[in-house]
Parts: sequence; C-alpha cells; structure tokens
Amino acid sequence: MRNIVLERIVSLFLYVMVGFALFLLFRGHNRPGGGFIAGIIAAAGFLLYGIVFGSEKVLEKIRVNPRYIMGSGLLIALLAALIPMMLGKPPLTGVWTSLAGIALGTPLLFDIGVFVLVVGMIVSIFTNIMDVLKWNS
Amino acid sequence: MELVIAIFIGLLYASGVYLLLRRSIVKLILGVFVISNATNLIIFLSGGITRSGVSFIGDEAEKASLETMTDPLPQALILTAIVIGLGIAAYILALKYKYFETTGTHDLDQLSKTDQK
Amino acid sequence: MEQLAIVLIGLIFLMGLMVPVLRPLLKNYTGRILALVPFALFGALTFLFFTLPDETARIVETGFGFLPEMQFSFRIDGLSLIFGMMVSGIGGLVLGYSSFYMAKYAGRTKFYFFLILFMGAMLGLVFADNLLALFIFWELTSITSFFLIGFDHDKDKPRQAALQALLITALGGLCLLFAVIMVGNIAGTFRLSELYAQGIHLGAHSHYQTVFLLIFVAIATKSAQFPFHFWLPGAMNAPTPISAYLHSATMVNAGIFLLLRLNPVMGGTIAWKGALILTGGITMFIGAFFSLGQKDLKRILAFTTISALGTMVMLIGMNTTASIKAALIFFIVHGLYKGGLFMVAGIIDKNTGTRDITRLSGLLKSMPVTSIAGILALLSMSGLPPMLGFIGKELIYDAKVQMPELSWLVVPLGVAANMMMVAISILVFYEIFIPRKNKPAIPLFHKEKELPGNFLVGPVVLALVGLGLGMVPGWLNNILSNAMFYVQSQAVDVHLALWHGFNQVLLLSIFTVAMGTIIFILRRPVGKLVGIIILWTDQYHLPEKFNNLISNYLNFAGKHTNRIQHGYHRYYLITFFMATLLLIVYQLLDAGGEWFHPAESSPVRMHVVLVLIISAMAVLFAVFSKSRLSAIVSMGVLGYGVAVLYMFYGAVDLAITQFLAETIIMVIFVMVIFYLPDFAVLSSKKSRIRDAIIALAVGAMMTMVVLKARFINMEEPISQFFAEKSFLEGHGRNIVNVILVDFRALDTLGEITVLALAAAGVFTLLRFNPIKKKSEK
Repeated sequence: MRNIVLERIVSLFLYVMVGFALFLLFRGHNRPGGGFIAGIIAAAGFLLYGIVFGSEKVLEKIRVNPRYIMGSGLLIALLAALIPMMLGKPPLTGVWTSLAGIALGTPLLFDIGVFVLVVGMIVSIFTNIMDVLKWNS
Repeated sequence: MELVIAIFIGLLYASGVYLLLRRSIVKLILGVFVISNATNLIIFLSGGITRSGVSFIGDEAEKASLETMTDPLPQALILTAIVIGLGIAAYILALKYKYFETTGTHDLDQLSKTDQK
Repeated sequence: MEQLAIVLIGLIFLMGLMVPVLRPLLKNYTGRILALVPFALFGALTFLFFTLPDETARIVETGFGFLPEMQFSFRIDGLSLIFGMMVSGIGGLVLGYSSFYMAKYAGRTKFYFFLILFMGAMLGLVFADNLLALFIFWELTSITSFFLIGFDHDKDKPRQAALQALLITALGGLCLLFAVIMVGNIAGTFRLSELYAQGIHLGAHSHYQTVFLLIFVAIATKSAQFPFHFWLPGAMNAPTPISAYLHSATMVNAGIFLLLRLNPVMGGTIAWKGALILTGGITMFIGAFFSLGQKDLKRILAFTTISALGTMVMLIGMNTTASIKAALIFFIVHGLYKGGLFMVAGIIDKNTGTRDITRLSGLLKSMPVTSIAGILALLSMSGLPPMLGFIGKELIYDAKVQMPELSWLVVPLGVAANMMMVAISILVFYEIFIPRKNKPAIPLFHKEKELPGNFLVGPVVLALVGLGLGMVPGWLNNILSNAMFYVQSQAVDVHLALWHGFNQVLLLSIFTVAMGTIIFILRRPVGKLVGIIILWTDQYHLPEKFNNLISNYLNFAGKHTNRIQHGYHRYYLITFFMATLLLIVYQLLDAGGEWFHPAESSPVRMHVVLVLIISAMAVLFAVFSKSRLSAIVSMGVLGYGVAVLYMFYGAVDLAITQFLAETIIMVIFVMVIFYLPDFAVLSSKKSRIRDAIIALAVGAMMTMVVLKARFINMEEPISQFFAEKSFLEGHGRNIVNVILVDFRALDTLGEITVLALAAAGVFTLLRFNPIKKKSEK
C-alpha cells in the first residue's frame, strides 16, 4: 500500500532536514547548533526517509557507502589536527583566517568532520539493521 | 529543586539497577539506558542549576560571566555522552540480536559458559 | 674490530631467526655451515684478545633501544672477552657437533632455531653495557633454554624438567629486574660504564641489603646454587649438545658473570662475602658428594658442574685478588673440560647405546681418540698437570690459603670437594676407558674410524686447548689483567705459570690427589654410604617437592577462580554494587558536614516537578511492564522528560540532541526488538525482592552522593576560563560548541573515534557469521 502524499512529504522533508542541519552546522559556533546536533538532525531525516522508502533507497540517495562517509569524517577531523602541526603549532590548535569579515578556522573544519562522521555512523547503523533484519519490504 | 532532582536521579538509579539484575537481556539493555540518562543528569546538576541563562556570549559582549548562565562545561560533556550513548545503544542492540540469533535464548543465566555448543 | 664483533652478534640473532628458511637450503650441513658465524666472531674476539690494552674497555653504541637513555650499548673489556670467547668458541663447536648428533632427530629446525638464539642471547648478556639490556638477554636465555631442555616435548620428563628450569630461572629473572631498577634508581644510570667510571659502590646505601638479596636470588637460581641446584641435573634431559653448551659456557655461567660484573658496584661487603661463601661452599660440597653416587655419565657430569659453580661463587665471594683470578681461570678450565666431557659422553652414548658407567668399559682400546680427549678432560677436572685445570686448582688453593679470616673453613671444604672430584675422575677413567679382564668391553655400533670425523673435532679441540693453555698459560696474562681491572677496580698484574715451586699449595695438591685415590680404592663402601644418604635425602627430594608445590598451587587457584568467576552475570553485578555501596556509604558518613541547604538551593518550579513526576512514572512503568513495546515507549518518555529538563535550565543544544537521539534509539530499538521474544518472568519472587532491596539501596546512595557533591569543591572550576576566552580566542559565541571543537577537541576526536568503532562493530556483528562459515567448511 503506497501512500503518495506521505512519500512526497518525506522526500521534501529530507531536503529540509539536511538543509536545516547544514544551517545549524555553520551557525553552530555562535548560536545553538554544532556538528553533533547537525549530524543527528540530518541522520534523522535519512532515518525517516528510510522508514518510508526502505534502506536501499537511502543508500541510493547518498550514493556513497556510509562507512566511507564515516571514515572521511574522521579524516577531516584529523586534518584539523594536522594543519596546525604543519604550521609548527601543537596539534588541534585553532588556526584562524578571516575571509570577508567571517572568521574561518580549523575548529570549523573539525566541526564539519564531526558532522560527517555522525551522519555516516547513524546511517550506517540503521541501514545495516534494516537490511539484515529485513525491514525493507 | 536540587533535592527533587537528586531524588529523581536516585529513583532512576534504583530502577536501572533493578533492570540490570533481571535475567532477561532486553531488560538489561533498558537498565543501561536508564542509568546513562541518570548519569547525564548528575553531570548536569553538578554544574549548578541556580542560573538558567543560556550559555552564549551576547552579540556585543566579548566575554560572558558564569554568574548569569548555565555552566557550559557539563553541557559539552553531556552532549558527547548522549551521542556516544546512541552509538553504544545501537551496538548493544546489534550484539543482543546476534546473541539471540546464535543461542536462541534471552536468558542471561544460559550465558554463564563461554564455550559454544 | 669492536663494531665487527657486535655486528657478528647481531648476525647470530638474525641467523637464528632465519633458520626455518636456511635449513631446507643447507640440509644436513646446517650445523656445520652455521657454525662459521660463531667461529668468525671467535676470530674477531681473538684479535681483540691480543690487541686490547690493559685497563681499557671499548664501548660500542648501537643507536637503537627503548628510550634515548636506555639504548643497547655494548662494552668489550677483558671480562666480556673471556666469556664471549668461550660462548662463541664452544658454541661453534657445539653447532658442528650437533650437525652429527642430531642427524636423525625430528624437529632439527626448532633445535637450531633455539640453540642459535640462545647463543645470541648469551653473547648479548655478556657484552651488554646497559643493565636493562643485560636483563633482557638474561630472560632470553631462560626462555630459549626452556625450549632446548624440553626439546623432546612428547616425553613427560623433559617437559617437567624444562618447566622446572623455566620457573626457577624466571623467579631469578624477576628478582634481577627489580634489582636492576633499584640499582638504576640509586645510581642514576643503568650503564655499567658510567657506574664504573663514577666509582659508585652501593655498599653504604640503605637499600643495599634488598638489592643484594635480589641479585643473590637471581644468581643462585641461574647458577644452580643450593637450594635451587636441583633444576640442573633435570636439565640434562636435553639432547647432549645442549647439555654440553648449557654447562660449559652459557646459562649457568651467566650467574657467575653477573657476580663478576657487579663486583665493583656491590662486592666486598659482609653480606656479599658471607652469603656467597656459605652458599658456594655448600653447593661445592654437595655437588661433588652427590656425583659419587651416580651411575649415569651425564648425571655425574651435571653434579660436578654444580660443584664447580659452587666453587666459583665461593671464590667470588672471597673477593681477594687471588680468588677473583682463580675464579676467572677456573671458569675457563671448567668450560673447556666440561664441554669436552659432555661431547665425549654424547659420542659414547651414540656409539654404544648407554651412558651407564657400570656397563661401559674398555673404550680406550676400541675408541682411542675419543678416550684420549676424554682422559685429558678428566685430568683437567681432577686438577692434574700439565692441564690448565692444574693451574686453576693451584690458584684456588692459593686463594683459599691466603683468605685471611676464613681459611680454616674454606681450605678443608675445598680440599674435600676436590678429593671427591679426583675420585670421581679416577672412577670414570677406570670404569669406562680402561680395558679390564673381569668386565667385558662393550660392543660398539660403529668402529671409531667410521664415525664422521667432525664428530670428534669438538672434544679433541677442547682437550687440546686445555692442554695447550696449561703448557703456555702466559697467553692469558694480558686479558686476565684487563678483566681483573674491571672486576676489582684496581690494576693487577697477572703472571700465570704451570710450576709454582714447591710450597704449601703444592703439598695440598698432592694430599688431595692421594686422598682422592684412597676414596677411589674404597669406592664400594663410599658408594654405599653415598647411596644411603641419597636415599635418605630422597624423602626431601627437591624436584618432586617443587612439582607438588606447583600442582597444588594450580589446584588452589583453579578452585578459587571458579568460585569467583562463576559466570553468572547478575552475581557479578550484585558483588560490584554491594562493594561500591559499602565503600561509598562509609565514605559519605565519614565525610560529615551538611547534606542540604535550603537557602542555597534554587526555588522549586512546579512545571519541572510535573515533568519529573511523569518521567518517574514512565520509568516505573517500564520496570514492571510485561510488554516490550510499552517499555520502550516509556523509555522514550523518560528521555523526552530529561530533554525538557535540559531545556528549562538553559541547555538548548542538549535538549535538541537529547530529543533526536532518543527518537533514533527508539526507532532502532523497535526494529531490533521485534525479532526478540516477549518478556518473561524468569526470576523467582525471592530473588526479585532481593534485587529490589539492592536497587533501592543503590538509588538512595546515589541521591546522597548527588546531594553531597554540591558541597565539595575541590578545585576552582575551569568554566570561567572558557567563558572568558571563548569569543576572544575561539572566535565563537556558543561556548559549548567552542569547548567541543576547540578547547577540548582532543576529547572530541577520541569520542568520534569511539562512534566510528561502534558503527563498525554493528556492521561486523550483523554481517559476519563465524558459525555459519565453520559449518560450511
């Protein structure tokens, strides 16, 4: 039994959730938000999408194996640790530049790493569970 | 208010411990959830709840004072604890599923031997 | 040249590790070809031997190690040269010898592997300049010798002997580790060269007794001193080449070496003298005494080794110039004749099928070359001219006679032990080599000429070296003076000669030989007497006692482990909770002070209380619910309640995270739990009441802890720092986020790694199925 209205709403909702998550991620340094929250919100969007369409559709939607997403998240975070080292500072020191009045720095990069990892982790977990436990029908 | 929350935490711990001591593995997992929530609350309470301002620095200000806002450090700790709790919960659930699939029982007393049949 | 020597030692290690690859290539020539490396090392050391000036030591830095201060560095001085030449020279001979001896054994790869590693470890020990490196090599010799002694691992006896040797020497190894650390702490350096250079002597330090006791246990176990001597006769269960090597130059001599090494740092105190002379004396005497009652050639040799080790320990304990010189010479003497004798015993065993001296006879006629090598070694053992053994024994007597306060004790003990050595030498000579009318000559498997020539090289070379050094002992002068300098920390001129003139010592020697001959003539009554005493001591049979001790201990441990590790999850938890409860409640009551301060606490907000009440009810519902789904939903209610609480108290980030995380957990939970059975009441009513009591007690305890915690302020909170620096240095107004990604980013990095691992764990748990794979095979 397909419910077209639900499917429409959910597909739309996915974009809204991910968009909102990205918004929270970049705003997180000054206002409520941040990598963890944004990651969970985006993942919740995917979870909802998965419940309605099945886990295969989620994997199709994101195109990449969630484990790779997880790994790249970790790598991005590590990069934030390594950049200061290349500049001769202790690892994980914040390095800041200013671009058109907006401060950009490695902590932001680190936050993005956290976000990517959290999304990858939750998506990986629930797609695996749905797949193995046959929740896709 | 601290007294009320402290009693609430105590109640959560009591329920959690009772659930942990059950033989059914499902209850055991519920117990882990309850206790992790209670522990987060302890950390939260340790920062003090007398001040309830949000822990942000105002738009014009350069620094904030702890006098007016909630302590940010416990919040940071709890935030990661919640997300880790999520990961651990998923892991335990997968473990439990595997365990049930392999042994066909959910009685922890049957787990007392490490050898596989 | 020094570097070359060290490189060769490294090469020996490498060669040992390469044996599994090399042996299929070299086939039956493995032993002979691999022996070239120790011989090359021997050559390099010989060169150093002749060129190393007095009173110098060469230090070789290798540049690698555990830490900058703890690099493997090696020292080459007289002492390490003497030991190193014995280890490498006899090692090469043993390797060549085993090429024939082991020809028909299975597991030769293993044999060479461990033998060569053992050789490398022993060389490392001898040349180490760093005490920690010395300890590591010391332990390596214990471990490799364990495998060598237990080479015939499918038999019960070698296994037990190997285990015994390992346990005893490992005990010593632990003591050595502690001692080395203590010495390092006291002196501030682990390097022997610095210890020597600074002239540090620990004698006056308050911990000297402890360090000495530890060192003493280490050397007594390794060098088979009374009462740890019993593992050595057991160790002769090893193949003969191993026995030859263990007894002559390595393993048991490591203890002697360590004593000599540490003599400048620790030697000469009353404790040192007393303990070493006493133990050495006892060991020397009982070793010689028990050897008289043995029938097995290898066992006889094993007991004479114990006696010889006792002699060396005693000499070192005496700590006079003469005694140290005697100890060094005696080490060389003993290595030469004991290695030779064991090899001869091995050849005889191979060629006749027995080692029983009552059955062997007349070998001088049938195996002349072997016999002459054996007889020369026996001459050295009994200390007769013109062998080096004579010089050794003369020096020992000399040292004992000169010993100021104790000569009344050490001289008779030494003479008695030597008499027995003479007697046992004559006995062996008479029983197995001399052709006799009333004892038929034992038949041989092969004529001596048919034996592979190189089989005989080992004993013959060792016998000739003993003879040659006895004739021209002057060669040893230089190296001995150098060694003496580093043992005694004073310059000593050494002049060795075969003939010392007619003096008190020579008289003692003549007396010894005469008495030895008398004991030999009276061998039957003496043998009976020793037999009776051995029977009597058998009720205190140490090896068996030791085995019983070990097995009792294992039983004890097994029983009690089962009691503690019962495997019931609940009881582990109950134990844990009860212990925590008792400790914390005691601490709380002990701390005193106030529990609750109404004026300080924030006002009660009724809407928050309402949320808490709803959450509490949800939890209680979850506890007693029989339905899985409703339990999960009430868990969710609890989670949302806590989120609302965060919200009320200003933690917006937390509230959002808690809401979403709780939702996701619930969804996953429902997905999984659908496949699991419904709750069932599994516990009895009684145990439920018990659990409830424990749970309530823990809850009450936690409430108390939370209340109390508010009044304990150990450190100024760091939060103020975060609040002040967050924007100025972290460029962020959300302090929580700045803490997460900047101030405490390392923690966060660790946490996200945990998250990745959890997800990987879920993946492997669900996808990987080892049982299925097994059954498919």
